[in-house]
Amino acid sequence: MKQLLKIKVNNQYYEIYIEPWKSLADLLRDELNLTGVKIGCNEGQCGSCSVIMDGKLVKSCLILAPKAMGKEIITIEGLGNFDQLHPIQKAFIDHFAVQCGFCTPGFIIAAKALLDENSNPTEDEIRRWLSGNLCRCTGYVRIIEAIKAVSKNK
Amino acid sequence: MSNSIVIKKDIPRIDAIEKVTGVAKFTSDFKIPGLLYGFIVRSKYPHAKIIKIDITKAQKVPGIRAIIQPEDVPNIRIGYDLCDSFVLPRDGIVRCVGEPIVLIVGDSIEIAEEASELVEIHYEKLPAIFDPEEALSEKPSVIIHPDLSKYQSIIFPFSFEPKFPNCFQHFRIRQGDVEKGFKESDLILENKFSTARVSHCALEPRVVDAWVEPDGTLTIRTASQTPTSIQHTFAALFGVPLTKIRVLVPYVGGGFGSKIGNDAMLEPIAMIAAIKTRRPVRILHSRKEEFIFGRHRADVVVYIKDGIKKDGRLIAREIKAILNAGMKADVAHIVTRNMAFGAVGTYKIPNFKLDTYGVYTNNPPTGAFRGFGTPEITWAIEQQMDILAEKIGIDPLELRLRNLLKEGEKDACGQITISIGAKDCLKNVANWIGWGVENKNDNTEWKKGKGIAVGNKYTVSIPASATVKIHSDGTIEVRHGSIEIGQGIDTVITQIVAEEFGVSVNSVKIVRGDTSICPPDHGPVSSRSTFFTGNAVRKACQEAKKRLFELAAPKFGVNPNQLNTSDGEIFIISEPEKSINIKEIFIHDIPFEGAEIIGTANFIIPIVPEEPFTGQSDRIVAYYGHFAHAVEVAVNIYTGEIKILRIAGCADMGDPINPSMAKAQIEGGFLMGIGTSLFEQIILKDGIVLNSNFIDYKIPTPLEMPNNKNVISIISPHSHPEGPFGAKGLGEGVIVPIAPAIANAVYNAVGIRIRDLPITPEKLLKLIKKNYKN
Repeated sequence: MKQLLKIKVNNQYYEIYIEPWKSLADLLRDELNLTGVKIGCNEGQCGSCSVIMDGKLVKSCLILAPKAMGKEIITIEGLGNFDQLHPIQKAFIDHFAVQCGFCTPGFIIAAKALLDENSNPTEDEIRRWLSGNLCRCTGYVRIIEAIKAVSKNK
Repeated sequence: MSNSIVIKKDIPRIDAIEKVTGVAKFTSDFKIPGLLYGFIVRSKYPHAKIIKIDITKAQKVPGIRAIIQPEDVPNIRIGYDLCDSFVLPRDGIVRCVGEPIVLIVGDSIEIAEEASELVEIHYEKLPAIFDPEEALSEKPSVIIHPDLSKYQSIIFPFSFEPKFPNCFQHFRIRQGDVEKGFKESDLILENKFSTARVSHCALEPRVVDAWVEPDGTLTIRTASQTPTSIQHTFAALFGVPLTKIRVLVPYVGGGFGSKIGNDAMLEPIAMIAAIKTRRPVRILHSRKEEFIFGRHRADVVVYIKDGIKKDGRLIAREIKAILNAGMKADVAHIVTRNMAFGAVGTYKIPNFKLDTYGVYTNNPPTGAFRGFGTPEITWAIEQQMDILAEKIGIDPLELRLRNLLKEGEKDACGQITISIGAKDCLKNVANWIGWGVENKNDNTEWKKGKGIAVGNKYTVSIPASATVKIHSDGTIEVRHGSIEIGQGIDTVITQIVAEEFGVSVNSVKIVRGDTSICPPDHGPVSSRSTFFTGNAVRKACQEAKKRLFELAAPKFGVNPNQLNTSDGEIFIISEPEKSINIKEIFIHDIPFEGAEIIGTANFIIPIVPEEPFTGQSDRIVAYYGHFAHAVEVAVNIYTGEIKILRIAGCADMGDPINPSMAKAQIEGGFLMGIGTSLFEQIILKDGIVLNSNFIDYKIPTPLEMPNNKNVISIISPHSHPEGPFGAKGLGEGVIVPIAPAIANAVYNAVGIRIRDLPITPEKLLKLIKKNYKN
């Protein structure tokens, strides 16, 4: 029943056998232990599972794992680590853009996809771009400030 | 130390680096070998007798390891306060749609779910009751808990009133003589207001892992706000000592009151399954399950009657509130009581009468929700204030300022007011919004208006304890019993410890979320962690330092009280150049006297139990935080659409330990406040939740929130003498005045007052059409 899946995740190549009905989010979390990918609704409505697939922002809970065959995925773990934070990660810390932290990886990934496409977005453009990600703690104020700070520095 | 090093400073959150890199662990991120998965079969009917449960087909599905039925659960009713529910309906009665009946345990969630469809449950439908006022009647058509009179409570006394068979709580406040007050009034105003059922929508769904250690310890890892409560419930339920129960709580992805006690019964059901299968069992709520059985904020009906003099003095107020708790009242028993304190904490009113009633219905269960009754009561009070102001011709801001409680005055419960910043909060938000400046209506379609409201949030007195240990390298370990749920308590505690020891925040190690090593606490509820847990930690630091200085004093030949410490050095206060390093108190990492240098302390605010029937007490709550909001809205008179143009929030939460974290929470309040004012509402039909996902139950996205230049979060601290470094509490009050401020602004814009939440375009448009026709 399991299918062979070849996939590149955070610059590493993987060949994994997986049940074809598993989602990309399940694959990343359960098989590759990339638990920074969060599942808040499992129906594409909250954005906590956001990853970048071949340069595009996607909700990994909505993608069947076999559909990621041959694709390149970037998750929050691929952005930076304690020793070398990505500028967006650092800006989220500096601007107090994190509270409970469950939605944070999804927002940072979404912000990266935005800035890759548009390095100097307006606040309205940031808000529109982030409208697929939900946060219940912050009111978005500091998330937006953090993204603005990084975009200005570019 | 006279000058703070880290208190009142914007220290970056200590948990932020884990969270931005994705390595922060939440309950569902842990891997457990041999893990089984549970799927819950839930009631289809709002009220029914279970005739028969047939599991024969389900049992035969390959990969099914156990099926837990009502007969498998202990014959004990449990609850956070009022113990009114079995783990599964052992009495054979289901009381709401979505109530758990059977747990299927299998090798995967898919297998368990597949088998769940083969479970056959035969019901006999019973008549159901959904309306709270019908449920409160003296002869209700349905009695939901026939054994209510025999139930017991844990925290607050429970008394059954035979007159109201569905009522589990009737709380009263009586001060002065309202009838006399109304007679002396120049104007009497009566209104009815109501609030909607809403959902917390914490982004992390509930999840529980349960297993039994080889020594028999019942271990549970759970996304919970209250591990101590779970530990004690388990002791009662499973008849084991507290030392044989271990509750682990890693980072929690938001709660807002939803993750209190065994609120969705996941912990006990999972543990029963783990005991039966001798394997670890996980139950993970889907988002739909969060919406249908993840607790709601109860819908509340508030009747309010005020008497006022021409000069604007409020002289009498009478409130009757009815809370629709749904099928369970373990927490609602307290909400119904405590919402009374939200009604008394802001204004001075000499003649006051309040009755709050909590009633069972066959709706899904409700519980704690950020504000714990205060937003619902404030929705009524703060609209009433605007209506009164207009009727007697006083500016609404001025009317509020005239009636605010002042420092040292007794409130309607008889408690003396200490640390009230309501006046400054009101003035700050009024200034920012441009109160008194004419609305510029240059557009015929969109009408602008401004509104203001003030409110409070009481914090009940629930003690806390903490332990602090000094290590030989000068680092300080603190074990606390609260939970990091996003509010930032780990950072606050780190700052308090760093301040007490004069060390950098990097020298502080937080140990939290494990009942086997952390002291008991009641967790992040009632905006209490900074005040209670923070105070306990501070006292524990002082105890540890006392011990340290006792050990060091002989080395200096001085009294211990002549010593202090900073940066890992111990020194004589009057001669700071004479110092030794903390490590010199240790020999081979062992303190040269005793085993560990530990300080341990609790923090308790003694409360005077209220007089029954009048609610009077010299001290009934620990403290009040005060909050005000001002908003500017635009209302489209053709569509009824409402835009929040600007919003200001000001909090008096005492002196902030970390001002930026405090402001960030005020901004978070804007989101929940705006959502629950304008569109959030659980839609129930015959007890069934019709909107159980984020498309049908919308919470604000960045597009529903005003741009950053149009929001401001202000702190107006009024120190509390008992608070740690003057701090009070913040988390809940930040949403309290928002809904009435918006309603008042809508009225200011189009002259229409919405009395039932949420303020939707549909409701508005109906009334606009009526108004503009004339």
